[in-house]
Amino acid sequence: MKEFKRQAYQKLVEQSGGVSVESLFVLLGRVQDTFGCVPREVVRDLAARTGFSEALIYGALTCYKDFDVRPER
Amino acid sequence: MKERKVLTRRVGKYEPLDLKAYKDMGGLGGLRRALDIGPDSVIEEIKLSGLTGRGGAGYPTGLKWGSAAREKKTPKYFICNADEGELGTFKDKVLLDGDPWAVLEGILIAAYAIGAEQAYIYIKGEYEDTFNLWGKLAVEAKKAGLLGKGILGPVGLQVARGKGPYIAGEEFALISSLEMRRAMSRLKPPYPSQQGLFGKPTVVNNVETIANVPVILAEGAEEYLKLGVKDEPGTRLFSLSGDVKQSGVYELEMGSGTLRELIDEFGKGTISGRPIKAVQPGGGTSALLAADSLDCSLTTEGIRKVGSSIGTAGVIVYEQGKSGVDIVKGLMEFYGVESCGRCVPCRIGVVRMKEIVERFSDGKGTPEDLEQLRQIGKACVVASTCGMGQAFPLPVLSALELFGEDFETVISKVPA
Amino acid sequence: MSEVYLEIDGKKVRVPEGTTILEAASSVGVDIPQLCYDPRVRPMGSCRLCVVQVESQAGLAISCNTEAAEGMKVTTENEEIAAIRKTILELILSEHRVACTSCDKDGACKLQDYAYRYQADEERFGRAARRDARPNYASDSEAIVYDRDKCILCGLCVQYCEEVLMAEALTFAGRLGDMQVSTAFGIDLFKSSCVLCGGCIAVCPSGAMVERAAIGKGREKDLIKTRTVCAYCGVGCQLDLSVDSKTNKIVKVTSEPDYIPNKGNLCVKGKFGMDFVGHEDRLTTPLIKRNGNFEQATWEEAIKLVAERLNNIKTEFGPDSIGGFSSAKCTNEDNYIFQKFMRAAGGTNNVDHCARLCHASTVAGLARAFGSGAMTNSIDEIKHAKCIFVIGSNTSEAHPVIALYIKEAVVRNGAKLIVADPRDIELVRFARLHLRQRPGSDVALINAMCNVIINENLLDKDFIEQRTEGFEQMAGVVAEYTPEKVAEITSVPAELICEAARDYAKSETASIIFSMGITQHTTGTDNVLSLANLAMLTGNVGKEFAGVNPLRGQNNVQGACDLGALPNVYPGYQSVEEPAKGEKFEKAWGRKLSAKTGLTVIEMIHAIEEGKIKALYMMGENPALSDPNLNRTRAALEKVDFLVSQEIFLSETAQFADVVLPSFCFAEKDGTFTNTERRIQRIHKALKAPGETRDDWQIICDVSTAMGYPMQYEDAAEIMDEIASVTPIYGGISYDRIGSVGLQWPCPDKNHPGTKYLHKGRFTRGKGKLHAIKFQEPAELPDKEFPFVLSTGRQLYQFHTCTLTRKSKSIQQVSPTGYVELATDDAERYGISDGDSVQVISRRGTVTTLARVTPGIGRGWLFMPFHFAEGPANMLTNDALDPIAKIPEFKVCAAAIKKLVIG
Repeated sequence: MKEFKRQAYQKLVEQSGGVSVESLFVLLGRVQDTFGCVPREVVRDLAARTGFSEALIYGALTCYKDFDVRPER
Repeated sequence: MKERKVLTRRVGKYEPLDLKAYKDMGGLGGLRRALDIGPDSVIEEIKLSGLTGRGGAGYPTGLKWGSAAREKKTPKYFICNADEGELGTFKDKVLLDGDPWAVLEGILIAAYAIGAEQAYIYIKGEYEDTFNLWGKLAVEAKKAGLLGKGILGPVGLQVARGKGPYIAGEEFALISSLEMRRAMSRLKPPYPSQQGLFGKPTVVNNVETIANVPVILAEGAEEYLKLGVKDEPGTRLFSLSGDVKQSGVYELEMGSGTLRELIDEFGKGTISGRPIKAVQPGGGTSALLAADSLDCSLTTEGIRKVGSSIGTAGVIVYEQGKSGVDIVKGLMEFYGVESCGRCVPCRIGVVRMKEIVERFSDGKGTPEDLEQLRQIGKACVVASTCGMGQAFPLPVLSALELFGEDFETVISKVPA
Repeated sequence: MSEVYLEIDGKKVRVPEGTTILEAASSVGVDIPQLCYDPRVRPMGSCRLCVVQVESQAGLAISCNTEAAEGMKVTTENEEIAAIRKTILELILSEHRVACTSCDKDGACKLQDYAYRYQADEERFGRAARRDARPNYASDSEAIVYDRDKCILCGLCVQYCEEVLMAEALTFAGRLGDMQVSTAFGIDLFKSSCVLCGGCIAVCPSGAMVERAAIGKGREKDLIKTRTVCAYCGVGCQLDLSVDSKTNKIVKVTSEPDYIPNKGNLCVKGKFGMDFVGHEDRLTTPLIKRNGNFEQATWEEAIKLVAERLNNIKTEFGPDSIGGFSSAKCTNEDNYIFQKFMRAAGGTNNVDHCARLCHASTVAGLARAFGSGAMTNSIDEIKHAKCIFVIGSNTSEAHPVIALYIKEAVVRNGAKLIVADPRDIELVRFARLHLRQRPGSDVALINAMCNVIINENLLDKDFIEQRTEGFEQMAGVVAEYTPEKVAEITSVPAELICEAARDYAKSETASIIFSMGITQHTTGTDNVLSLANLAMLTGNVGKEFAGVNPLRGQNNVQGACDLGALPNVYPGYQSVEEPAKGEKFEKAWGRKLSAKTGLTVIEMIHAIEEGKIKALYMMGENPALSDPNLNRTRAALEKVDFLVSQEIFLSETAQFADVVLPSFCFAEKDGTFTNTERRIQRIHKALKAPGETRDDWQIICDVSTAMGYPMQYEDAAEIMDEIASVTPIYGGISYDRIGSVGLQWPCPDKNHPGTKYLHKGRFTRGKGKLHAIKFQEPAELPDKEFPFVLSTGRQLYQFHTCTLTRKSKSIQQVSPTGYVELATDDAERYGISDGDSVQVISRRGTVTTLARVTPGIGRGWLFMPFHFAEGPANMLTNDALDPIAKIPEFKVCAAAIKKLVIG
């Protein structure tokens, strides 16, 4: 897992033309490819910005072996 | 038997990002004609051409488009399914890498025909180079006015990269995936054309299917119908692999030869020279055919008649010397971890079948195990939600039927 | 809707189009096995047990997702189907830890039932491996247990949480083999977006999710289920109390999808808030205070003492020196008896109850505008409204089950939701428009909406002409309230006001939902009248799916009002000042009655100060925590000569009492409650009451008899018969008619089916009256010293003064103590961080509580839940009253906040 940098994440969001429901999967793919994982911070942020719940995004991510998310317990 | 290069005619003939070269070789003719005749006529043309899906299910493409176009809800979405996950299938990559503009042209025509302003291409995770290429291609296309607020009005293309699961190649699982949900199949109805991505009318087409579209539009359906046989026009890209000397992707006119000819002439026979034991003609979930069934015509109907299916046209060859147990073990190793978990028979059945096959492979199978394989397999075929659950047991069930003695011989001699 | 005919197992079935085969079969008693169907969520189709054979169709059909079609011939069971089902069950059992011997679900487990039916071999495909006992998201939850080894991954809990509650706390996590139900990142349930409704437990078919407190406390066969009505808010959810008769304890609370009005849905209070019933702190004997200490007493002593003191005071100071607080928690029968006692035995109309603090202004306002003050429409209609205007109601927290209907209307049926609330309440997430009005500026806001509707000609002219009066005067006043001007008063942008007005007026059916954010103001009655104006201008009253819908706060506050626990009316809103009504009741009750309107709750407290009230009889109220300006209230309770408290716990108020009389709680009673949609529902005794406690009406009858006005009834049913004989709107009510679905008043005679929505064709008062209402500022505005506006209200987990809810561990875990919400900006300015101890100060008092910093509230505004005895918000609130309804202004007072520096 590479170090998560807020700035780098924000840049990624900008490059993806902002956050939208329609591009969420693509954006999270880029987060994974860039950081080697999807940090909870990102899930929380994207949930707040898309109206999706954290649980829904988390649950979805865990179904893909190429997304790396870690439960907190 | 000869290849008939229609979809693959430009493959490798130009630098993939070079739009001009594509145009010089006749590219964008289909799109121009589509714009001339308008969306309704485009759909009519596709219906007329008899084009069916090349991803495995073989549903008539024109019908899908027509029903999505009729829906009043907006926005609509078009998705090109490039999550080529089926075992023994690698033909879409040839088009994606070798003639990407034709695929894009097909996507644009489809989006135009159904009235979608947002299109997606969902590329298999392992195809990293392909994904990178398409990222650049989308930029080029925007520059050229094909995407963005271009000649078709606003059309966006999102290039998505698959993140692993095999099941994401299933229509609804793919849609769920793009919705940032778990890649899981869903109950039908409603169909994607009614309630697809984000609940909106959506068409999902396989890469090869969509690559046919510019051809049909440019040449006209009538001309296209001259390819192949009645009821099954056009060509198919056969992925040939397994125990053959020469693996590869071969584009053949429908019905232009037999399965045996394909294997012998293009595959140059088996690696060891031993006779063929079995063949899967339609990817890893198609039923096994024994060597005496290979003289069937390379059509959907021809293969169906001998007890299997054309599926993705991924032809996997197994030579003599391999046991039926080995064959299904290899398959179950793959499918045994890929159920989406949506429905019981597949979720649990696939795991139990994998375990039983492994027992045979370890020489610990029992007669009871044979019965269980049949029982679980049948329940999955009959009661599963989607194509995966309905199909993964087919090779196992056919192996039991064709090569039962391979299983009998490894039944544990030690009483349990 | 058209219907289809089909044949299922040879039975002819007729069902509406769109019905699934599964539902059609169930309607004729054919039970198709399924483990993942629930009528409240979309078909899951995950268990695949419900496969059936449809004649002339290849393969098997999934009956939960296949619509019944004309002429279909369905076979639900044959050899092939049975074999498939058996295999599927055996597959499930190969993953489900079969532990029926120690499982709470034993005997109520669908998986067990089907395994038995198909004689499935639990080890046919191997024995389920026991997974390692890693903790999961529910391991530390007091409420819920999740046993992964029993989970069959049907997904119903996840689907219910997402589709019905829309709480989205649960998800599937992990890939095949490791799949499980989880919260986001596996965090503790009580830290997630879970609202503890317990729906996941209710839908779980396999015993994977159960109530933690119920484990080992009894299986289906050990328990007796009694159907009754929840004792918390006014929704009136029907539920089943499962009681172990050996221990006389409630083991669990459940509800079923066919129960009205909640469709089996519950909130945390109904599901996990019943620990109070058998709690060790319950009062068990009468108490008499001697030398400042309570001493146990016999009923004879206590009743004699109460009767003597009341009689003496009555004789010495006159009947109006006695006051009574009836109770919105008690039954209709209790309330009827209580007010009859006060009026006939006491000779006074000084009887009131806590409706004064919640919906007095609704009753006053709607009576003036329409002629009767209750929810005009039914709960179930909400989900079909095209537009819903929620103002001053945090529905998701105060009336959680009604919020489900609102969300369903929006998410499933496409309704437009407008929320007007100073805070970002949960419903805002579903709203098209959020109007964040300054607390206390509602009249201006609603007038501006009316202004837009008139100016843009969005009126229902026919309705106004034919069914209302007062339009000209009203329009004259409203004309002054342009959106631009009102934007300045309310701080809601003019454009938003216009859009809200248009959404509301242009929708075919628009329903207004309001609660205490509207009523608890010195302008409460005006607020309600304005809403009535809005509805009448657009013809949105007197029809289905529309209306003006006040949500009542207590389980039986509607009934307490209906049955005359009010100082100005007899049962059925018959005025005490109208001679004909007086005569009627004098005749019925055989006593001379007072024709003078009595005092309200707050007025009685104030009258104690003046020495006018000498004795107070409280049936279950807790003004020592619930009333505004607590210091003043408590001083009055201290001062009053004689205070009787009829209670189930020694509440804050009971501690002031001279005599405490222990009574039954709802679970120990028979009777009726009337819910917010005017539905009279039966409650049933589920367990034995503790100690020497007695039923409320029984106690009152005994006191009354001892005072010389004998009252005697065989049972609650007999009281209801008397109620029906004197109360026209309840005229047709009797226990044998109420049944399991209840009856909605008005129900004037025994053949009347009850009334789903009011004012159809004609208002109760004849023509609807439009009122010209001018905006007035609240009684107390912020200034330099007290720069904040403080509002109080409810939160989801606690109820009223926590007397009941705080007995629940599950609730304590999620809601341990009180707090004050303030805006992030303000917190920064005052150097306050989330979780800091702070002092909140008003002209009337100071309380210490914890800060909750949130972007969800406007700058300059504070919010406090009023439930908590530590940091009681009502130390701060203003007891200024609405001049008509006499409701205090809980929702606005001026306050200051500062960080508490310790040491």
